[in-house]
Amino acid sequence: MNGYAGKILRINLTDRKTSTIDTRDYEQWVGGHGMGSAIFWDLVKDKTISGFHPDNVVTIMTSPLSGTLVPGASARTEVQGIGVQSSPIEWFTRSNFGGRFAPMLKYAGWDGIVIEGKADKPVWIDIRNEEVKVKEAQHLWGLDTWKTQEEIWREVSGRGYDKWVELDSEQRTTQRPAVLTIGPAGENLARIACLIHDAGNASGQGGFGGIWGSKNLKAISVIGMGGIQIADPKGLMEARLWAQVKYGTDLKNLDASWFSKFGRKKPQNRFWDPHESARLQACIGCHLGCKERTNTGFGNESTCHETTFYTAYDKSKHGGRQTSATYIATDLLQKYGINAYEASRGLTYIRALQRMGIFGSGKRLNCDLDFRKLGEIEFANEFLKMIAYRRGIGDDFAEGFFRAAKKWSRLEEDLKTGILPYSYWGLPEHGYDPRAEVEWGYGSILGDRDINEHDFNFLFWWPSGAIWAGKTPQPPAGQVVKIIAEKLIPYENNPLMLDFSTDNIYSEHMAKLVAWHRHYTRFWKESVLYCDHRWPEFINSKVPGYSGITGEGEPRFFDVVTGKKFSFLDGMELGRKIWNLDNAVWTLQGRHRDMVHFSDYIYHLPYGGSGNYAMYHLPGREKGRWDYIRVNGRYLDKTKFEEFKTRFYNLEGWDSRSGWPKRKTLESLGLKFVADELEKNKKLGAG
Amino acid sequence: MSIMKLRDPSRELAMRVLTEVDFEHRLNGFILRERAGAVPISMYSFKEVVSLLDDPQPRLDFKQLEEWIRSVMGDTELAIHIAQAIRKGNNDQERTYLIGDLLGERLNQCKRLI
Amino acid sequence: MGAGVGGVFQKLIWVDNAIAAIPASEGYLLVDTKKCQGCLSCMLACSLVHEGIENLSLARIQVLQNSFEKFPDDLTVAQCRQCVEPPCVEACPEKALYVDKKNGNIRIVDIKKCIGCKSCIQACPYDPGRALWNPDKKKALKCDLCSNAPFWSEKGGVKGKQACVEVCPLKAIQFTKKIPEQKGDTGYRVNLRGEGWKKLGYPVD
Repeated sequence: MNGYAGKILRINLTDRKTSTIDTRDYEQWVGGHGMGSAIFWDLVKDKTISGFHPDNVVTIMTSPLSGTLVPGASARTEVQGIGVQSSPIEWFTRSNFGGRFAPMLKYAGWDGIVIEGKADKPVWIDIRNEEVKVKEAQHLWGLDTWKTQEEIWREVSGRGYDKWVELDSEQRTTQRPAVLTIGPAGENLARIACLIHDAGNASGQGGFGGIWGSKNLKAISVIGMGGIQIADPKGLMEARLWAQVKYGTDLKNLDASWFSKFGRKKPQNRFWDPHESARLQACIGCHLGCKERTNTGFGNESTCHETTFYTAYDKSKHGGRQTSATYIATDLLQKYGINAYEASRGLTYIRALQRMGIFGSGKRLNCDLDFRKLGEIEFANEFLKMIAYRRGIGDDFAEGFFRAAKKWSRLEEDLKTGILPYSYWGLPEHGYDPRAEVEWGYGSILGDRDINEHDFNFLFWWPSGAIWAGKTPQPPAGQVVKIIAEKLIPYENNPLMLDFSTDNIYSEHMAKLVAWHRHYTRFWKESVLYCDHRWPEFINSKVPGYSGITGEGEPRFFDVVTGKKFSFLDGMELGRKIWNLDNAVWTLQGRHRDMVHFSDYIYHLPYGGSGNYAMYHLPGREKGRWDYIRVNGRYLDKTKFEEFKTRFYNLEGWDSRSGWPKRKTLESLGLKFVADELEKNKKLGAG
Repeated sequence: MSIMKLRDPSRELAMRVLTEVDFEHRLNGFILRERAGAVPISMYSFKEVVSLLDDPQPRLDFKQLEEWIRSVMGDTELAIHIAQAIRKGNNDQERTYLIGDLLGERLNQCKRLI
Repeated sequence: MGAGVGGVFQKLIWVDNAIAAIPASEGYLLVDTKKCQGCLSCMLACSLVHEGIENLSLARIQVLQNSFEKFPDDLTVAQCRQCVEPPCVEACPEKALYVDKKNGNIRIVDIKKCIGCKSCIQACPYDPGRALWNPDKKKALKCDLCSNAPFWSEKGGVKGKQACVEVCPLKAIQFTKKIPEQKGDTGYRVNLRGEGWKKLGYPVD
């Protein structure tokens, strides 16, 4: 099987038995999320169970491209299962992470891992090629995520990694095992605990750390020395070099990549003041890394939001100067294994309550954290320890700050004023507010989680920065939306899908953008595992006409590895099928359109205060002309959002009264068995 | 463009500038981080506002800041200077620098006094 | 002496005031370990063009890293040095690991002659050893500077291209014809960071 290892590892932690699923049984779903959803559907009969229930199945899936030379698509691993973070329903959800795990799993001879049951004592899973052992983990339980990995590395090699490591006389590698582990937060069943791999890769959303903790699963380690068959090796090498030359970064001419995602002028994705000295660091196979390893060792491999966790407090405390507290606080997040969004939004929230006078030592919400030390490393450590070990009121923090607010009888009020910025499904708002950049909020509320898929954010970022600085954004909005619209197959050449003006954000055009986004990501990014950081690419300034690699790149690489002649459109259709399967799961979990609503503040609090300063710009039409228009200062109209939902459901072929899939839609996608199950449960959409 | 220098603050004003405010009187802004998006920042003190304006990508409603300085900090003189800076700046980035400098200067004056 | 004498005698190379009886390779790989981003693309490309599959254990260049270590000690690159005095060639009882005089004196494995005794693997004095073991074919293999890369449409060898050099996204590997200093590592480490690297915000020393 080209691209595939051919088998999926199935582990029942209750009886510690391992077995094999033939990948061919799920080959039609291709990989990653598609396979995970299909396997979940088959193995979890009662989909209304809690994420903490032993019958919850966690799938950890690779794609046929994992471990190959495909740029920005070799290294991600997709984790799925019933989550424990969202509210009021623990949605069946997903989270993925980069690094080395997926490639190593493929080299070991596995396309994925399926975890079910619950061990009676802490265990870890030791995978060495095709040999799998479920081992006692008492000596690992309690260790932070970094120490756990180092300990496992010691055990597997026995003598370090400067020479070839031999599993037996024939099998050798120079590579350390790829380990995925929980920290103390997961061990103590925090709903906001993550899975951590290496220093800074995390499966952050969904609370999979707590789910593993509930299963007494500490870590999975994999070391592999095998190979992956490639359908067209010459073609893969050619395609790789084609992409690099045409779309990739050229260090001798960085300026040419002023507008690109695939090959960026500034590749690093870290937001603190940089270290004196560091290396750019990449996941396996990636053509342009986004991480770093530093001369202090602090902050290794952390990226994105986790690097903003403590910076503002550190600088404020230390006269505007950043200290190592910024880096160390982020490292603590990784070591305890705590979701960076919950930690940072949560800290902002409790500080607000502290300033309100109701949170603190001896207050109604009793907490000994000394806010005078906010900005020092001790404060960050105390706060995170409270979450990880459920100390004092940390027991509430560990439930996620949405549930904490509910317990504190503050939920309704704080969602009304927005001081608890949790806008969808009891989850922290990401930074692309539903009132401004609607495709993000809509995708999140119509799905299961903060989508965390940045495909269209450049439409905000680049013009907003230019306008703030008094410059005219280039290229102009009309040109940009035209280039992108060409690529939005099967809804191609409809630029109104990218019109973020208030008149258009509830329209069927916007519904198409959201549908396109969900389908593209379900297949190309969550199943084939093209990394969100480099894909899709709509615009590339190196190319005459600015057209990016998306549309041509995805199917080209997919074909040279698998030999499957999947067109871009084929992928979109399969993405739509997977999205429908997921909605069927959510429907069985209890979803109804009446609960599909943002938090209160989204419907009446203007985003960012007034619209009178340069903050958030997006393409839109005003008086028939395309421009980058300002969208801060607005909020969503609840009635119009209801109408939008109806348009969206109609577009997807779902019953607009309930949001449930209809039989004819499911059957047209080859999902008759899903329609039958929904009907049995009286949850089939009518019509 | 020249903006008049700030006069020395009174002791009372300096105390207010160096003290945290309560929840009701906080000021809200954002720092922009590509991919993480617009990170909301709640500021409970003058120095936090200075810190925000020092960020490479701050976003703040300057009229709201002017009002905050006037009514919460009680610093009428500084508020007038901010209003001037709003008018004189050609874009928000320029305004950020002008206003950041003003607030930075006031903060230093207050720190020296107390 | 030396290059002045042609014809019957082998071309002799003066290195470190010693005469090497084995002709020196006409090609070497140098790496900038501070520039390397640890993506292993070189390894993936190497295995791909030689074997037609992706297998890190069959990559003739190896990148080793430790996520928890400080830069620059967090990563090292182990490329074959095409030693002027190659212990692997000397160790091979079958002359399967030999100096290919038709291809710029590259030290390579003739798999038809290899009997899988692993003498070359044991002989390499560097850690990790640069001669590799193919457990399926039960043969040794080693970097050949892509002189025999059947799954690549480009011409390899000392007069051609090397897959690792071409694929490295940051251009952290360089091919050279000049013989590197043989003692220690410095001869095989090179600074390939220039203005572009500075623009990324990293040191160029």
